[in-house]
Amino acid sequence: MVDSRSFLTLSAITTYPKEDGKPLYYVIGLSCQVITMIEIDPQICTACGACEVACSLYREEEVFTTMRSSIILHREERKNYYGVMLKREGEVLLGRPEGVEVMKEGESSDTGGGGKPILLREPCDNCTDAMCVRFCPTGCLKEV
Amino acid sequence: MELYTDLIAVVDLDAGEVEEVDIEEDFIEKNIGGACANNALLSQYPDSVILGTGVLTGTLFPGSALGVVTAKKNGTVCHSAFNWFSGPELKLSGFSFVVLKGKAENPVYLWLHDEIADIESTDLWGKNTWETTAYLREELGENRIQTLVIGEGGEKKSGAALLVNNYWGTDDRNGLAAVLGEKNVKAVAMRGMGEVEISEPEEFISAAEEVLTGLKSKIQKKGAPVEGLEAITQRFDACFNCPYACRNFVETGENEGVVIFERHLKDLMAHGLDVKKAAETLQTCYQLGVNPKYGKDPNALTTMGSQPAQPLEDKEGWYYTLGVCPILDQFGIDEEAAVRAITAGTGLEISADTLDDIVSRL
Repeated sequence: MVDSRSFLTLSAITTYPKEDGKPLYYVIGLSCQVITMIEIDPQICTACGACEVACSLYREEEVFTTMRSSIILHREERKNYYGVMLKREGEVLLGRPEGVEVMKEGESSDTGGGGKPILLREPCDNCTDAMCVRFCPTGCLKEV
Repeated sequence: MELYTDLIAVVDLDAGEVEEVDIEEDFIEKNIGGACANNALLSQYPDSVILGTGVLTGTLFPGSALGVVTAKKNGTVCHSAFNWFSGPELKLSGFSFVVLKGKAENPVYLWLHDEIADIESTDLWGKNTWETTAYLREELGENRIQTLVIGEGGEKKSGAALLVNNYWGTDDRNGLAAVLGEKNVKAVAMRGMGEVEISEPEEFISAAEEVLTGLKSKIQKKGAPVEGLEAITQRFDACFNCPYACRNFVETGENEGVVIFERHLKDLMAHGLDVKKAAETLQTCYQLGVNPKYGKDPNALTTMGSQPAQPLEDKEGWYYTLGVCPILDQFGIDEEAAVRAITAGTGLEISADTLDDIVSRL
């Protein structure tokens, strides 16, 4: 369930040439980049959908909508079966009553038609101080 | 107009035509939204049924799930609330307000989506609310469609008629489902892919987050458990963007259950049913679209005579105007922050006193 990753990234090798064209020196840039990811605890989700609006607002900045979010609420209302799906680069994180599962692109799941819209969305860009987490009222979503 | 989608749909049921009217800034400045704006539209279009959203409905302001239906009943202007996800879906359909005037010759349903309002003839008359919602979602091809639907109670213009949102009862305390029945409107289906603009997003978010933090500090328990139903309560659900998950889903059979609106459950218990029997009966009440306030036999409730109008109580007018669920009032919403959210969201200079003055007209 925890999906935190840290990367030490070789970010740049820059060459400053002398007048004769030979290198004078090299600068090697190293940076430590912490990628924040979202953890889902579906057992405490109440299906309020705040995460959808919050994520959409982060992406669009000046409008409320549910259509831009990387996270989608899935609900089968008569059975009260619900959970959230988070689109990530190349995969979808499913948080549903059975637990949390990562589906790779191209894999099928039993989410039925409800899972299709997420494939059209932009993947989560691992923003920090994520709006979806800030406005999740139950703590179902966490940054890790 | 910020915090609203742009249009009012004026649906002429006699002619089968829809006029789209732009929402003017002046209209919002004078009426804010929700019940107050519905009142103004009812003055303009007498004998209509008005569906309206509050100024904060469908936003990141906590509890902003509320929509309001307004109509005259026995000469008295009455308001009833609907929530779950139907308030936000109505606004995001492109129509922040809908006026239903006249009467359709034959039963119809209204389909609101993508700034389009379609009046569709239907043979759904006689179907219960669950069948109707299932049909509309299948027919219109979207599981997230929200419906406001009448059952047998509304069709028979019962005084105990109850407007149903998808499968679950709304707080239709005034039997306005019967007014829809009089107009031959079986259902309103809504799906919102629109956008609601914000004048000053950072200020709005700051005010909304402040209110959310305050509410979270006061909501101590998980959900709203009902004594005697613990063993069959599957989960606690929340309406759109609400930190208080007060809607218990109670299992009544295999893969089946009912979302409890606590007041309705207590009404049935007051009529002498034990809590489990009350939950089962509530499911039938919602299928038939009848309000258990008036009795414990759902079938008898479909043909009840007219009942007295139930006025808004305490601070309800304020919540019905903002589009925020009044159930949150027990936790104390920061009203100053709410006014800041309205001002930041709309870009209008609206003070707490102005808001109170407008609400006092209800």
